[in-house]
Amino acid sequence: MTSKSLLSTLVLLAATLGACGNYSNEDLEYMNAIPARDDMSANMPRSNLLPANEAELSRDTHAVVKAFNGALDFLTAADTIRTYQPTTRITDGRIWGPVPTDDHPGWQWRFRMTRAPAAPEMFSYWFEIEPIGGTEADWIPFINGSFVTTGGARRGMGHFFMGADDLRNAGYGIGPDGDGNVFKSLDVMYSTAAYPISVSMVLVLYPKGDLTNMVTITYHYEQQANGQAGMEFEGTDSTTGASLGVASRWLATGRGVAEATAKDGTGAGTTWTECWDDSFHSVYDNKPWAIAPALVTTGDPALCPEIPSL
Amino acid sequence: MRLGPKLALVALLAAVTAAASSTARAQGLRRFAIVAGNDTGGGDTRSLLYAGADARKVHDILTRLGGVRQEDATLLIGASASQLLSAIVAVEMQAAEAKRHGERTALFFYYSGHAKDGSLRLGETRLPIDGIKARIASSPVDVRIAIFDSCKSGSMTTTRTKGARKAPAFEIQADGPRDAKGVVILTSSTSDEDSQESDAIGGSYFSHHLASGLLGGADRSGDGRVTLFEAYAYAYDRTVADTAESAAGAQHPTFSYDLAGNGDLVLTDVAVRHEGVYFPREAPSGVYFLVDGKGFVAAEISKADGVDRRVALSPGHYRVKRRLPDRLRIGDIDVPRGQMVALAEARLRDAPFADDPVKGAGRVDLTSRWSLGAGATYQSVFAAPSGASLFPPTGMLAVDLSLRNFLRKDWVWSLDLAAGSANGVVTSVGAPFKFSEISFASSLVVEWPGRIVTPYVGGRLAMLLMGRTFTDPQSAYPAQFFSTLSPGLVGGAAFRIMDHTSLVTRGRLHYLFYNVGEDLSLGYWELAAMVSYDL
Repeated sequence: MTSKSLLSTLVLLAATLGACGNYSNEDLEYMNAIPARDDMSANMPRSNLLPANEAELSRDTHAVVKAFNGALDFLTAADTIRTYQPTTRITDGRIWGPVPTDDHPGWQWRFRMTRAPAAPEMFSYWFEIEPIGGTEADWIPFINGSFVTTGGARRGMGHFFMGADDLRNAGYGIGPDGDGNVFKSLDVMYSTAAYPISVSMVLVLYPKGDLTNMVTITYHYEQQANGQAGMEFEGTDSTTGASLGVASRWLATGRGVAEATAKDGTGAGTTWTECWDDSFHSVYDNKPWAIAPALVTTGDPALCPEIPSL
Repeated sequence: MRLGPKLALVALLAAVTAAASSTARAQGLRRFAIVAGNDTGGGDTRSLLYAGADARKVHDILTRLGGVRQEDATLLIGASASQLLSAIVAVEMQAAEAKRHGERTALFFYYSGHAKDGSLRLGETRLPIDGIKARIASSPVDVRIAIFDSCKSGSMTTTRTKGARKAPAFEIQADGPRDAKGVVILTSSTSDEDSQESDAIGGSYFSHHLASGLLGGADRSGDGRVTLFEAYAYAYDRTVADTAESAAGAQHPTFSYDLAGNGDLVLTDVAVRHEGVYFPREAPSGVYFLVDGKGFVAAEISKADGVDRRVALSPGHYRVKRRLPDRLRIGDIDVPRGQMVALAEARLRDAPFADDPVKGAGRVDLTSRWSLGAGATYQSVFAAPSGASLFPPTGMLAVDLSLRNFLRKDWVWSLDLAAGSANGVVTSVGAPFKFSEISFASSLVVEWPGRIVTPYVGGRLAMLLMGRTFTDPQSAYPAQFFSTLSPGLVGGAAFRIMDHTSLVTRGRLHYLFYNVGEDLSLGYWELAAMVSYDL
């Protein structure tokens, strides 16, 4: 080794020994691609009314918004991950963990992200769980997803799938929700690239814990920058039992309108329209299949807000 | 009347031949020293470069070889008139206390600096020459020796009329019934001459030769002790010889004395430490320069044929030079602690004049001195492949501490500390952040001192501590940090705006190794301006 190359080596060695830290733009880009619960949550002003005093379709919408956001509770873990630096930096990837799970002793989780070298704007990720001491092959995917960034803070389009069957079969207990339903899967597509942001969700549950039966619930939510938002969902008419396709829209103040179209049974093909004010009191109600003594129409349609369709 | 230098020499030569130098007589004399040097003399004078260095050299000799205890020696560099007077008062009190205990006392007063219009100039303060003379003359010290190395300092001796005795004019008996009492004043030039400094020797001619004489060069008697007379005579001869051809004309040191009693005052005892260089009797005659490891002329010894010389030098490495008409004789010698090393002619080799270790490159300051600077720096990292938003351009406040001429002549070693912050945005994820940086660095530069402008270039090694916090609470990103060693180059210039103050501008170019997630060779540049004050 010549004295010149020796000097160069020593300089590089000194710099390498002295260089350390977690200062990384690329880490941020990985963290930015992790889905955030707030980005996908539905926002509807809360109602302080007793359920009996609230417009019926407003009440149904509030219930659906609660269920929609509840389905995203699984993303709380992802929100936590974003606050930590990655544990391991690999080529074109980052790994957080493994970390023992708080509520399942004997199990551990890790969150793994990669990005395509040829398409660095696209990130793929896996949230995986395995028994502590397991091998690489023992990791069970719980969430897998992808995100294509369009630049900016969590701006882009993403998709993730959450499936509980493999975990449950491996002995990782997942209990029922408050209604006794057991989670099977959640499939979410979302876009935060520009307004309106949109989230489409397909939630599959085992009703009352019956693993031989499944209920599929779909939601579609959109929101404008000014807080105006809307939710499309499926419901059941409380009086006729008919299936309804509901499109509910509201302003940032809470004032809104919902249109429920009967898919079958009495009034099939007709649409029930209800409007409410900022206090969620009904100001206009037109329900074609209303049965006396209930009135078909109450209130003034002029009081309905002008909210474009989603 | 003033004793002219030539006449004085004749008288002193006669005196020394008549005097029996006795070490015993020098013993029992409590010696005090006040050594002052001040490069500045106020707005109507041009800064000197070596007054402080000369004072340090004399102080070192007196405490090392001159029998002055460290606690009895006061060194004043850049002091004001009041500080100098305070030092004199303090020494007088010490001397009075010593006398109460039956000790005889001597005061060695040395001043190197400006003198003009009847006053010593100490920075912006003045001390009337008549006043300082009167003060020294009235000091309650048995023997007072005052040496003034300043322009037209011969005026210090013009009112003295005593002392034109042929013999024993310079003998000061330190004990017995004829113990000397009185005042001796040496000056570096006559009342109408300038006292000159030399860049080549790194000091004033007079002080340089006086110091060389005290180190042993003046030991004409060869007894290992340098008396006041020997030192003066040596300094006189060498100063006149060195300045005879100078543009300012020959410089003639003077002396006057007003003594009662007689004796011979030994100023330095070269043999006491038995440490230095010994020039044997058979060594060729000539003027030998002993240059220390920093390039300073530690001693300049004029050796005659058939005599030997001992030069008391501090342990260290020295380059020896003797100049011949057509070439130099150069060699190296190491002086171990506690050893007197004989210089054999065989140690020297022929060398061309171009290899002269005593070059004298312009008006340079050869004294080691500290300076403290403060200012502002602007730093910008070159755009990186991973995005220019990695490290944002940052303004920083900086302080630095520099030491000049310590490692080597014209080398400046500095430590600097800077801190600053800036706002930035990681554009790829739209995350605003607050960036903070602290740098701690050491640099070594070579400078080319000039009267007004001093350019410099060198190398620097910086430890960078950088961090950022993300200011958008929605982002929830954790704080990040990075530290690295960063080598670089530095260059700039210092512009002297006042005696002790310079305006410094500089640029830096640094390599920045970044290794978080990927290895990147980055770089950054800096521009800075600061005010530097010589301590």
